[in-house]
Amino acid sequence: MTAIHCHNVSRAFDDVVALRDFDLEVPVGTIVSLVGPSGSGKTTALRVIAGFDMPDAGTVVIGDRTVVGPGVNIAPEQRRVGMVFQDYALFPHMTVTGNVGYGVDNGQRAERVREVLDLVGLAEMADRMPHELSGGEQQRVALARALAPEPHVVLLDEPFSNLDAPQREKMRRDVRIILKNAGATAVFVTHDQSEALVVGDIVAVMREGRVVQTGPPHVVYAAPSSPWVASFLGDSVLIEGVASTGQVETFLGVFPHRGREEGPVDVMIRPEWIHPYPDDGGDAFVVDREFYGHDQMLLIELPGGQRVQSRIGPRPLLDPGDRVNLGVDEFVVFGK
Amino acid sequence: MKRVALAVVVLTLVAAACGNDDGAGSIEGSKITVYSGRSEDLVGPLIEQFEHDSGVNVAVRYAGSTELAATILEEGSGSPADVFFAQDPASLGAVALADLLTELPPELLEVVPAQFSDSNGRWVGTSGRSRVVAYDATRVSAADLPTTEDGFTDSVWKGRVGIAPTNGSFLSFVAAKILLDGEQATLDWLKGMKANASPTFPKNSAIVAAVDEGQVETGLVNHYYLFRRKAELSDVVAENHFFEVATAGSLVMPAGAGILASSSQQAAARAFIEFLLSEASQEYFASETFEYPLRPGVSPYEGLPAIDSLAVPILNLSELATVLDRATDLVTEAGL
Amino acid sequence: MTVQAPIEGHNDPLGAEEMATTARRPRARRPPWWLWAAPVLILIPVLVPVAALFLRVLGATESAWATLFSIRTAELLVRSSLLVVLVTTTSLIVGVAASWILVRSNLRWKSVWGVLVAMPLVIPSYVIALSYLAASGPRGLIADLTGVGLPVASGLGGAWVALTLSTYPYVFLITAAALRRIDPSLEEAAAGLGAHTWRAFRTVALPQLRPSMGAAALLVGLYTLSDFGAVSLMRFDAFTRVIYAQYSGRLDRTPAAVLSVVLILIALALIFGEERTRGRSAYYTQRPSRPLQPRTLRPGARAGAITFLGVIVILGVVVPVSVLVAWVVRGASLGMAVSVDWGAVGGSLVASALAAVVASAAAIPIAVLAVRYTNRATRWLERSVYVTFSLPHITVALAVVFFSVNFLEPLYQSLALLVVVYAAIFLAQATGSARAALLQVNPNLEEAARSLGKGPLAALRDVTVPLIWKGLLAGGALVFLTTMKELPVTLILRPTGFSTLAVRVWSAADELFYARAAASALVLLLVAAVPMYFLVIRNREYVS
Repeated sequence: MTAIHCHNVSRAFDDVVALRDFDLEVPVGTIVSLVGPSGSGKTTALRVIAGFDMPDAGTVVIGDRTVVGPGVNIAPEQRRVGMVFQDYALFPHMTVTGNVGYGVDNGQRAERVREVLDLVGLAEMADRMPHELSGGEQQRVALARALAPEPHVVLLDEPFSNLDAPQREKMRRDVRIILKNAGATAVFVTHDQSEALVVGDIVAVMREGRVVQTGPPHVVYAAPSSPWVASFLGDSVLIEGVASTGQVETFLGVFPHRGREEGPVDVMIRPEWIHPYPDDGGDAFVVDREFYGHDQMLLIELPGGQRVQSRIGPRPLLDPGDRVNLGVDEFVVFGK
Repeated sequence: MKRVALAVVVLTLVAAACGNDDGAGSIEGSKITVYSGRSEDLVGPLIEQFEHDSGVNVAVRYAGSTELAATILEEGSGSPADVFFAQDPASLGAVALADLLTELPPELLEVVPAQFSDSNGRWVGTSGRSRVVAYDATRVSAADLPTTEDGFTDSVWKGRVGIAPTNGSFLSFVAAKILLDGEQATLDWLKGMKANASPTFPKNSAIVAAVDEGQVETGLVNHYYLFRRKAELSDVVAENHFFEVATAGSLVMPAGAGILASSSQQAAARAFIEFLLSEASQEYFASETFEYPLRPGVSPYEGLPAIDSLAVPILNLSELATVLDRATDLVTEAGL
Repeated sequence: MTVQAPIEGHNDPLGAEEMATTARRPRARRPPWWLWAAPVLILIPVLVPVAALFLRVLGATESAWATLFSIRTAELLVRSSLLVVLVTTTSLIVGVAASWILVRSNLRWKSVWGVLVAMPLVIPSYVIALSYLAASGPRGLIADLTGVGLPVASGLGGAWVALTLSTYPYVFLITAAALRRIDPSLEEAAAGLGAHTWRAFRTVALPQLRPSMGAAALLVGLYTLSDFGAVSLMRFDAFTRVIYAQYSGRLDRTPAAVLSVVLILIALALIFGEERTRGRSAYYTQRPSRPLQPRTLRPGARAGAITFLGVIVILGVVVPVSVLVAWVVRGASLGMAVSVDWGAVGGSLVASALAAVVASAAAIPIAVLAVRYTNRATRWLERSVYVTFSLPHITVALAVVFFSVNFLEPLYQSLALLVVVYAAIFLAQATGSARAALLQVNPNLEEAARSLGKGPLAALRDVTVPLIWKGLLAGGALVFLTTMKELPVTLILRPTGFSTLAVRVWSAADELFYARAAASALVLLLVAAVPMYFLVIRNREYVS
C-alpha cells in the first residue's frame, strides 16, 4: 500500500526550477530517505507534500486522498502530515507537554502526550520549556510532537543538521528506532548520503528537481544508475574502459561483462572493492595512506602511472612504498 | 467670583419663572444638539443652566460660527443639529438663505427689536456687539479720532491702528462695508489700511491688550473686550470710542440663534431660544459677556451707552452671508 | 585515461543561487482572505475620502484655479518650504550631535541623558509652542519675573524653535540606532591614521549615517509640513494653518479642499522623492564586529558636550514644563478657575486607548501579510499604510468630513469614525513594531501548527500572536501616545460634545487663556508619560 504518491510534480520559483516531473512513491510503514545535493529540490518536495507550497503541475496523493492536483488543493492542516523541521520549530512559549499535545484533541491529550514522550524517552522533561533542553532533546520533542496526532506520514527536513557529530550519529539511530516502533511512514530529507543510507529503508536520490534513482540503500549504493549517483552516494573510482562482447578492458585488467555496452565505457569501482595484495614483486605500489582506525584508505599507483584508491581493513597496515598486486571484486559499467 | 454668584442667583430665579411655562413639561428628558459658534467659556454656564432648568439634555458642538455654518450647509437636511447658535448674522444668514432654518414663532421674534433679527424671521438676535475704536486715552484724545473708519486710511494714522484682519468679527465688518459702500470702496479702504502699515493682531483681545499696554495707540475692535480687561485688571488706560456716524464701523452685530428645519426637536429647540431671550439670560449677557442685551428693559453693563443711542446703519443682516467669502477674498487681495 | 577523485562537496553550480532564492522564497499559498479584512476596513475610511477629495477639487476646476491664485499659494509654498528646510536642518544638527555624544563618548549618566533628550517626544508641538508664547511677550512669565518682557515668540522664529524641539528626538533616536550599528573599527582606523575626532566623524561616521539621516530628515520634513498646532499658535501662515483658516473662515469649502490637495501632493512628492534618491543603501545595515569602545572626551570637549545636552534639555523639557506649572500656579493665585476638565481627560483616554487597540489589532494581519506573504499586493498594502501615515492630518480630517457627511452618514461625527481615522493614520507605528516582532518569529512555527491540524486562524491565535505580543504592546503604546497628542483630526471629526485634552489646550490657548491651557497641557503630559515610560523601559536600546 502506498502512503504518498507524487506524480509529475513541477514547481519553479521565478526562473529557477525546483521540481520537474518529480515522482515518488512511499510505501506504508517505510522510511524513505530523500537525498540530493543542496538545490536539488528536496525541501521543496517536502513542502509540497506538507501543503506549504503549491506545485505548478502534478498530483500528490496521501493515503487514498488526492491532496493536490487539478482543481484540488487541501489545506496543510487537513492533510494529517506530521512535520519535523530542521530547526525543530518548537513553540517557545509552551512547555514540552504543550508542544506535544498541541495537535491532539482535548479528550486524549494527556494520555497521548505521556505515550509519545515515553516513546521518545523524555517522560521526565514534560514540564520543561524548549530553551531548557539540549539539541538532541529538542529533536525528540519535535518528533514526539509530529507523531502525537498519529499522522498518515511524518516528514523530516534535515533533522540532524543542527547537531554536533557524536549526537548526530546517536540521533540517527534513535530516530530510526522511534519511527519504527511507532510504525510510522516517513520521508526524511538530507544532503548527507551516509545519513540517507543509514536511516532509510528506501533511498531516493534527487538531482536537479527529479528523482534519479530509488531503491534499498545497499542496492542504490552497489548498483548506481549513473556515475553521478555513484559518486554522490560514496567514494568511487571512475576509470575508462573499452567494452566488447563478454568483457571490459581497463588498465586494472580485463573484467567479464554481461551488459550490452560496446566500445568506450566508464567503469566505476568502489575503493573497498579494490584489494591490494602485498607482494614485493608487485607492479603497483602504495603512494599514500590515510589511517582511520576501523579501516585505511590507500592511494596506489599502477605501472602506467594511473592512481586508484583502495579501502581495506586496518590490517595488514600498508606503508607508502610497499609494492602490491591489485584484485577487483565488483565493478559497474556505464555506457558513455 | 461675586458676579458669577450673582448670575447663578438670577438664573435660578429665571428657572423658577420658566418652570411655569406650559411647554417645559413635555420636553423634559428630550435631547437637542446645539451647534454653537459662541465659545464654551462664554456660553457654557448658560447652557448648563438651561439643561438644569428644562431637563433637556444638550449636546454642544463648539467651533467657529462660519465653520459650523459651512458644516450645516454640507450636512443639508441630514444635519444632526437642532439649534444653530452663532456669533454673527452672516453665518446665520448663510444657513437661512439655504432654507435650512425654520421660521420662528412671532412670540420669540417679538422679544427683540426687528432690526437685530432676520427680516424673514428665521433667526433671532440674542445679544449685540458694537464695533468701536479702542484707544489709549493717555496718548490720544477722543476728539482727535476720525468720525468714521475711513479716516484711518489718512497718513496721519500710519502705524497707529491695530486690526485683526483674519478675525471673524473683522470679516463681518468688512462684509457689512461691502454691502454699505460697495466692493471697490471696501477694497480701497483695506488697501489703505495696508498702506498705512497698520499692525495686525490675531484677535480683538490682543489688540485691546496692546492698546492698553501702549504698544499701539488705537484699534478696531468689538466693544466688550475692554470690559473683560477691566474686570481682570485695575489700571486700564484704554477706552472705547463709538463712531457717531452710521457706517460699517459703527455696526451693532447681533449674535443669534435659529432652529434647523430638519430638527425633530422643535419644541425643545424653541424652549432653548426662549431661554436665551429670557430676562435672566439677557442679564447674563450684559453682566458676564458685557454684550448688549437685546431684550428691551434689560440694561447694558454700566458705562455702556444705551443701544438706541448708537448710530447703527440700516442693513439686511442675513444678506451679509452673500458677501462673507468676498470679504475674505478682499482682505487677502489687499495683502492683510 | 583518468582516475576521478572522490567527490567531496557537490559542486552544483545552482547551489549558491538556489540558497539565495530560498531566502526570499515566497510562501506559495495565498493568504486567507480574512487577513485583508481588517487593513482594508481601517484604510478605506481614509483613503477613499482622500481620493474623493481629489475628485471634488477636479470637479470644481475653474473656481479651484481661482482659489489657488487668490490665496497666494506660491507664497504659502515658499513659507512652508522655508519652515521645512529650517526645522529639518536644525533638527538634524541637534539630533545627530546628541546621538553621537550619547552613543560614542564616555560621558557619564548616559542613560539618564538619553531619557531626558528623548523626552520632548511626549510633549506635543503645540504645548511647546504654548509654553514659549506664555513665557515671552509683555504679559508673559519672563516679564512677570524679571520685569523685562521679551518680544512675543511667534511667527517663523517661534514655529522654527517649537518644531525643532518637537522633532529632534526623532532624529536622535534614528541616528543613535544607526550609530550603534556602524563598525567602530572604521572610525578607529581613521583615528589611527591621524584624523582628529571631528575629522573621523565627518569623513567616516557621517557618510555611513547618511541613509538614516535621510530617513530622519524625511520624517522631520513631513512632520513640519503637517504640523498644525504649533504653526497655528505661533500664527505662522504655513499650509496647514491657512487650510484651517479657509475651512473655518469661509462658507465655501472648496478653497480648503484645493489647498489640501496641494499639500497632499507635496507630501507625496517628498516621500517618493526620498524613496528614489535613497537607492538601496538605507536598507543596508551592518552588525558591529564587537562592542563599541566609547571615545574619551578631552575636558574641554566634555564641558561642551554637557553644556549642549543641558541646553537642549532645558529648552525642550525644563522650559515647557516649568512654564506650564508657573501659569497654573499664577492662574490659581489670581483666583481663576484652573480646574481639570475630567470629560476631556476621559475623552483623551477613551479615544487613545480605542485607537491603540484597533491599530494594534489591524497591525497583526498587516504584519503577517507583509512578512509571510510578500508579493505585489502586500507591498502595496504596506506602502498605503506608510502613505496614510504621511498624509497631513488636517487634510485627512477635511477629506473624511466631506466624505462622511455625504456618504457615510451613520458614521458622521461618531466616535467610531474618529477612532478608525486615528487608527489608520497611526497604523504605520503599530505595524512597524508588529512587523519587527514578526520578523523574529520563525515561520516554521506557524507551519508546524498547521501541520498539527490547526487552521491559519488558530495558528495565528496560538502561536503568532503570543510571540509578537510585546511588539504589539509597544506599537499600541506608541499609537496611544500619538493619539493623545493629535489635534486637527480631533478638532474636526470629534463627536458633538466630545472633547480631549489636546482640544482643550488648543482652544484655551487660542483664546489666550494661558492658565487654563497650561492646566490641561500638564494633565496631558502626565497621561502621555505612562506609555512613554513603558516604551523607554521596554526599548532600553534607545538609551544605551
